[in-house]
Amino acid sequence: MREISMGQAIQEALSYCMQEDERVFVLGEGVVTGAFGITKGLVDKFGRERVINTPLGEAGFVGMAVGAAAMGMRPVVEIMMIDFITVPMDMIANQASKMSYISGGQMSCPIVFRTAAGGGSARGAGALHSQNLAAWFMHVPGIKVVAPSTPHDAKGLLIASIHDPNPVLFVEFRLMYANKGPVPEGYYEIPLGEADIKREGKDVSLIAVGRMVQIALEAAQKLTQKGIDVEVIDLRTLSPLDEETIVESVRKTGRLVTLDEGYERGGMGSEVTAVVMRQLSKLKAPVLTIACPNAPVPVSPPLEKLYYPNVPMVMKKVEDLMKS
Amino acid sequence: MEISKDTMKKLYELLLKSRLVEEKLLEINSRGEMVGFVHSCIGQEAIPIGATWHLKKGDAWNCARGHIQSNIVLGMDLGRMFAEFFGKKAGYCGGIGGKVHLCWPEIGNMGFRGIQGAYFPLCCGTALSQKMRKTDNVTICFFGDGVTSQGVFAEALNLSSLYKLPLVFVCSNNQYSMQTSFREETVTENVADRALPYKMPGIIVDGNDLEQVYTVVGKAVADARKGMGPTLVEAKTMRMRGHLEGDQQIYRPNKEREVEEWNQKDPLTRFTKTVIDRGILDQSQIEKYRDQFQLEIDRAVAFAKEAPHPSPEDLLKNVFCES
Repeated sequence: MREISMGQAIQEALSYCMQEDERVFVLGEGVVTGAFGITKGLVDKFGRERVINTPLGEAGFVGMAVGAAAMGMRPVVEIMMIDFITVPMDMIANQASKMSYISGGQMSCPIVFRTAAGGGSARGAGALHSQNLAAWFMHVPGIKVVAPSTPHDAKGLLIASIHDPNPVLFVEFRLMYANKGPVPEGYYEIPLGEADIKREGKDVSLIAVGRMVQIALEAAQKLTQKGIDVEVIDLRTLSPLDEETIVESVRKTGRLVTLDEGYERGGMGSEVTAVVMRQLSKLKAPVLTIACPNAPVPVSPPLEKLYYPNVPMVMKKVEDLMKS
Repeated sequence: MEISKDTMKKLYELLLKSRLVEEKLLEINSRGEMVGFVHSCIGQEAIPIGATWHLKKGDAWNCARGHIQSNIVLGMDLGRMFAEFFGKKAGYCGGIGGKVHLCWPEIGNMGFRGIQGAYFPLCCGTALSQKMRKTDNVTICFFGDGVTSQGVFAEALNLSSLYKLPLVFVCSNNQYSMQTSFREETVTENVADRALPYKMPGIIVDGNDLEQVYTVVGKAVADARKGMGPTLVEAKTMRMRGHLEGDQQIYRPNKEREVEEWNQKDPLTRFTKTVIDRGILDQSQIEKYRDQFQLEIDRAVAFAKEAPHPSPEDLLKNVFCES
């Protein structure tokens, strides 16, 4: 199969959906040229009417997209970085996410919020350009949260997100845009709410999402040399969570490790742990939640290296867990 | 714009009916039978009525301060409206939205309330949709003076003018934002002045003069339908009651004088005089309307009171929509 980058896969999904459905359009700061190049070139096919550059003002243009979705359009709005999502938070968490419920099902809000998250480039992007705030949205009823880890998944999940009649937060990872992988041409969907067992194993369940799935797979590969057989589960969708796949895996392995690029406290790991512990009363070892520290992201390159979870860190922690 | 006798008559009916509904709400609330908040719009009804009159199928609007007059203009069933106010299943939102989130997209009522100001960009969105679909539909964004201090107001003025959206901003400037007077909120003399830097018309009208509101918003709506972009209309009026019912208004030392002064300018009193003076209606016809509407409202309230509550399984319905 041909290999394309994550960025190209995302653009293919956008292009496919815009071709298929006139109601689909993209908007955001500089989308005509594309801050990370993801939407670059769409304007040649679909024109300025459907590829809309907006002023820098997230509450305004994100809210405008939400209003258009309320009228039955299918906007895909780009929030350049998830750090900036605090600005249009009301539009996402209050307006879009509650529209179906408070209208008694009269209204829907079929919108996708695309945003880039995370860091780890050691380039000093710092506290307000390197976070992953995806876990916040697990707390909000009425919005789905998706975070792909491969070009293949990105395309299928984005098409499914655009087709979904509900608001979807689609979290991308800047450091993965150039990553290449096999991607089928044409249409396919990956259903939201289904995790993917990226690697089967019998000793420990390593539950990861987004860029951390790569770290998990690499760590798992190296841990075989130490005689540890790691199962890697890619959540793909943080909300709704695929509880069945998570619990079945941990039931088999008896050990739970979570790996996330958000802050540890109140994060993805805490929620996954709760899901597991509600259903399983006994594990072979205490739960291990690997995530970013409960501190903002530092600019200093050596400190940034310490900040994000990496392969040696994950290996060490899993080895320690196996000894406990 | 000369308003036809027939239109004047219908506007009068809507104004009278709206007033009677407002009075009924206050009565219900004073008996402690209301669910949720009552933000009374009494004495300010001419603004939404004169503006909403110009809307048609496919147009959109937001329910800013819980004003219910636009719903009445566009033919909302009063029984189902009161049912929603009481949180009953027969309400338009199944009793889940209540007065604060009442919506009915069939008549363009998109809700968009709850957080004051959120509707500014949301209304830009409905207008963007209307424009992208190449319709001649428009959106009216209703709002009050207080919310002009939200940053999204400036953003929406900019966005709507930048994209030439079919959008009409209609401000009911009733001089108070919760506990704060307009003069304490901003140095801007008039809300309409905010239109200037965004290169859209900003027009001030007497908000208690139904004919004036009708005429000015009518022109703005017609311009928007023709693709001429947004207009900001500021209708000057006065808040006659507290922010919420029960508000003691201790922050309002001149309340009695203000209310007394603006009582003289009451839109219903004025419009009653107009239709009688011009021979459009006489006192006995007005009394007949009053009885007829009162009966309709009483029946609506009785229906809503009797209507069942949502069932327990409705608690988790529609968090996500299925299709």
